[in-house]
Amino acid sequence: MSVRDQGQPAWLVGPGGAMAWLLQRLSGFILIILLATHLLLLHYGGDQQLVFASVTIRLKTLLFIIIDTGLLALGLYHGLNGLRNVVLDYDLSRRAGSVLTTVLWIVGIFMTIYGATALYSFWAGRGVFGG
Amino acid sequence: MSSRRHLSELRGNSDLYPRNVRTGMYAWLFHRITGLALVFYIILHIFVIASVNFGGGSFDATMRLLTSKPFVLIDLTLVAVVLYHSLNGLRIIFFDLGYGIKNQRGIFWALMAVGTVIFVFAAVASSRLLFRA
Repeated sequence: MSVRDQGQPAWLVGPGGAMAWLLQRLSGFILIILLATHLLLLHYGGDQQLVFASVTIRLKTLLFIIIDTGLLALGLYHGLNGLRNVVLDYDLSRRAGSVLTTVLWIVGIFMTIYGATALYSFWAGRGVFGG
Repeated sequence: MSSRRHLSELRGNSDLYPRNVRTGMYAWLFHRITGLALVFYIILHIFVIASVNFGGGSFDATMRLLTSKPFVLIDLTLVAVVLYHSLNGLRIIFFDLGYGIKNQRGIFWALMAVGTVIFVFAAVASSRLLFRA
């Protein structure tokens, strides 16, 4: 029996179904708090011109490492899971859905690692690729 | 079930082919559009900020470009998109918890009013960058 025959939307059935729905709500709620902090401190709090030197100092604080890593990982999870929800609404086969999920996980993990290299560059005070 | 019959059922019943498009439906549609814009933006944002991987000078040059007037205007659009997606997202969470569904339309417009006020604050703050000498 296929997913379609059970009369259930594909994203509610199987692994990554109901849990993906719950995590989308949780990550969304946490992102509102993190993003408000991010925007107020970085763009509406100080001199509005971000420079490398000041970001380097800010990222020496553990709290900002947590906030920025959280924004990176949760933002990507929420965004790519949302993209998955949109695509799965258009009636994909179960196999196409699995391929999509795998591809999005690879993109998400790659972007998280790449974003983490940028955070590391700020923390270390020099670019990981030079400069 | 044949796919043709399945499609006709979709057209008859499903959220994908609605007949009755009003406030809540537009709220849902706009949540999708802003969400797709934001997932595109976050990936772009990570690549842009990662210019720091090529040194502090590279990052500072990127930031100077991004605080030029055209980019400040684009960023204000981004603020509006983020505000919409955040506030309507809160509305969705309330509904999933079982609150407020009966008053969904009123809640939508109340949240949009809140969003407008926050946006005006953001626009006034950004005007320092837009109207500098």
